[in-house]
Amino acid sequence: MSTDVVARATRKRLDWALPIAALLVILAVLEVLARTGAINRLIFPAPTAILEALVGLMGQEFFWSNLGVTWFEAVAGFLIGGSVGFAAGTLIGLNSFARRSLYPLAVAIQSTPQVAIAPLFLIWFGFGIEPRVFFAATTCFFPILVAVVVGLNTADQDSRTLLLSFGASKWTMYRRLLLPASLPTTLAGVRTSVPLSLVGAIVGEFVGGNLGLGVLITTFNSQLKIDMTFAVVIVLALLGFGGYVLVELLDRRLLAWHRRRA
Amino acid sequence: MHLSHRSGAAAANAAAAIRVDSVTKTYRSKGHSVQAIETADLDIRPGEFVSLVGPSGCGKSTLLKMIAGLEAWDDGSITVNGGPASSGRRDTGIMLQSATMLPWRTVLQNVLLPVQVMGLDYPAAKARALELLALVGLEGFENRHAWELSGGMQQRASLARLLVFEPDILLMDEPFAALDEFTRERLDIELQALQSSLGRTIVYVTHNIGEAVMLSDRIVVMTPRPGRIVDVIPVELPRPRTEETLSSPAALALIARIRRELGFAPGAEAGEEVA
Repeated sequence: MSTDVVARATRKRLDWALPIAALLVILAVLEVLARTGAINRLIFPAPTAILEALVGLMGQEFFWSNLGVTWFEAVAGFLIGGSVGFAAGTLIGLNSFARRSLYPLAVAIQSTPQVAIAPLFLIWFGFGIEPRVFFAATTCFFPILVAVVVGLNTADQDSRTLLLSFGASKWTMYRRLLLPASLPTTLAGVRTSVPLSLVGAIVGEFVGGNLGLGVLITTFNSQLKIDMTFAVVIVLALLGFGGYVLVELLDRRLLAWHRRRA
Repeated sequence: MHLSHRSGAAAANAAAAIRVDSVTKTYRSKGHSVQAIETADLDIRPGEFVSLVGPSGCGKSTLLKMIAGLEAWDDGSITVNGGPASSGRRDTGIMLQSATMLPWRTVLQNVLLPVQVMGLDYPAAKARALELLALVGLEGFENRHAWELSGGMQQRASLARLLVFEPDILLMDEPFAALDEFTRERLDIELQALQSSLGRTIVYVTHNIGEAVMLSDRIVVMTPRPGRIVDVIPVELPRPRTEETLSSPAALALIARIRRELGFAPGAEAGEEVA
């Protein structure tokens, strides 16, 4: 047992060590290519130059206020889209009439590229922060809805029969069986949605906005400050990674049973 | 005509634990219908161990689920301890072929699931659950998760879960059929010992004739198309019975009789199972 634990811990360390090593190698190659002039520094700055730009950016107040705007849009969008998606998914997952009437629509709408409707949001919600929040919300809504619907149908017939034999009410059936059984799938939906909320916020800013990291990217790009553009992209990557870590922690906490079984 | 023949028995045996009276059941779907149960009559006494034996599609599982109140029937009546059969009765519990342990719960939490669903006294039930886990040989496994247990151990846990709310009628639907032969034999012997100390009423569905002979006080033989009871045979072999009991002349004669009544053929193919 203990050797097993050690083996697993070693494997976990290797899981991190290898990609980090690969990243360092790639960065070193890019550095050499940029410094020797093999690639145009204007098009692809050296990693050290990007790091320099990033450090410079972090000293600026406007950077933090723009970061805050994007972060808020993504988080608010995720919370709104996620909770509405969860509620709608629960309704559709538990009610067969709702499933037959609404679910096909939801699936059809989900396959529409949502970026296409982003400009509409400007017309509907104006040029403030609202269209971006709502856009981030719509991108999170469908993956969570679908995940909840699928999750609520994962409990097997024998488990349902068993709970019925104990005289379980609909609520008890949901609380003791359907809901816990749905959590792994729902969390998979959350995992998809968290980065999507960031995508939604950035796309919203691209389409029409005066604040946010998306605006910084378009501005730096138009000024050919490519190192700064890259610095903002790295910040976005870190934000996305932060979301990933949060979901992982939630997963570990809620789904230890599922993780260890798999 | 079965009614007139039954009325005398009904009066003599008013305290039946389970009474199945002229029950019929037909599954209908798109133009064709399958008669799952033609007409079933059966009285089961308190403390009796009765097996329902027959091939797939004979309605044995359907009949058990009806007694559990989990399946509707067309005509007739089913009475359990004097009241109508229904799900959620505290005096009846069902055990299925799959252990159906909820994977997010520990073994102990799984055993206590019916207690929570029924809203019974939790602390008292917890003490009882621990005793039952010891009784079924799972002491020390309380805090494990179900997937850490073998199939046989999961069914032991399932048995503890069945007993935790102290039903006096146990409805068992091929509980050991998915286990390997050795495990099944051991669990059969333990179930027999448990039954002799607990004295519950047990209805046990199986397609294994030897298992039925080993465990039962009476065997109900059922045949498919349409599902019907063809014979009810008392088993008067001495207890405790073992696998050796099954090779005694009396047991062999009994097995031969049941096989003859089942037409010797394996019966319906697996794909034709009704329930």
